[in-house]
Amino acid sequence: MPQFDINLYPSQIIWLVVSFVLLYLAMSRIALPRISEVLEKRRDCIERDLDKAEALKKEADEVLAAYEQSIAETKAKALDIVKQASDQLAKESAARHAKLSAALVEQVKAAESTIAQAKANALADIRSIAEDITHQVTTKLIGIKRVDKKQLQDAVVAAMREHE
Amino acid sequence: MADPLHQFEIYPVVHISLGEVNASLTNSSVAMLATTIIITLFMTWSMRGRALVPGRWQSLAEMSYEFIGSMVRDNVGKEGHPYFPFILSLFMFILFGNLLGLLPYSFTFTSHIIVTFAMALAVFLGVTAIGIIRHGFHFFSFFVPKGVPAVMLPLMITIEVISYLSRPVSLSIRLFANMMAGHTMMKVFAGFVFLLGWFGFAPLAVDVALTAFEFMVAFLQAYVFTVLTCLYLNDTIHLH
Repeated sequence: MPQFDINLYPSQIIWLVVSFVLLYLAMSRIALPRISEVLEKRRDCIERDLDKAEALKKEADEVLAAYEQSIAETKAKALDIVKQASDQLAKESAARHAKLSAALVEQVKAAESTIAQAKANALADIRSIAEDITHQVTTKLIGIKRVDKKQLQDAVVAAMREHE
Repeated sequence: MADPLHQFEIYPVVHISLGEVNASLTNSSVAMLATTIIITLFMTWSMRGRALVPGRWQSLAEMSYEFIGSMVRDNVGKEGHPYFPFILSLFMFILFGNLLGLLPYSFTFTSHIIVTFAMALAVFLGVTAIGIIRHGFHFFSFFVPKGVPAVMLPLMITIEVISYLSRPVSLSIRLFANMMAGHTMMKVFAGFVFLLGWFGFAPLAVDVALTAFEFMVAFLQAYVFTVLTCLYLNDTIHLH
């Protein structure tokens, strides 16, 4: 068996040492630092991305909260404006209503006074006509030349009062 | 029938002599150098992109790194970190040596006892040196089991020392015997393929199965060698 040929040992040991030392140097100086650097970079990158994602989420939450608050504020403001407008309208309509009713009352009053005036005039005319008729009736029928004017007036008034 | 041991023959490619010593570049040396070069190319070329999201080759290199990294971490702990490049080089060297040896007409340098023994001895001496440097004279308490009656101590210490000294022997013979037996068996069955004529398909089928089996052995033996190195390292660093 060639495995037990001692003459072959020195060359195998020498080349084993040479190959293995070369391999060790290549691994420890070049290959392994490069791999560990890549692995570390990847770990850092993942960590950084996670941090960033968390920060972004927090920011999004803040924006959402601000948005909700502004919506609530705007709603309150809108309600306020609607209330103000309806108040204003109610006030205006009340004022107009009051003005209108005052004007109507005024007109009614004026009409009433006109009516009263007309009635008084009518009454006065009726009396003078009645006096006149009474005077003429008494002179023509009875023949009394002179009728006491005062007596006549009182009689007419009394007669009118009786019919009122 | 071809000699099934012919595959283990070592012949010089370039004659080199260092004084009296024959340091010729042989087919074994070529296999070792090729292993070193292929591992180096694999571990550097596949990382050339330094991609954040690794491709197939970069994934393989990173997997090798993390496989040995976790092996060292689990078996030796944090103190094993300085030895990580050595453990990784050892694992890759044995694994690629075994795998390249499976290529037809190639040479399996791990099937030579002197190579595996030299590696095991280097591990053994290195681990012992680390123990003595770390713990000084206290390191030798490693051979004194705790809770043993004084009468038994001489016997126990003798057993402990012998078991400690047999570590490089078992470590080297396990790898060497596995590789040599597997490759010899493959060649024996391959020889039967032609001897049996039409019935040669039977040994051929066995050889196909053996090839798959040998791939597993190639990985498993590299793993066992490396894991035992880690355990020995752990024993010396953390005594008991």
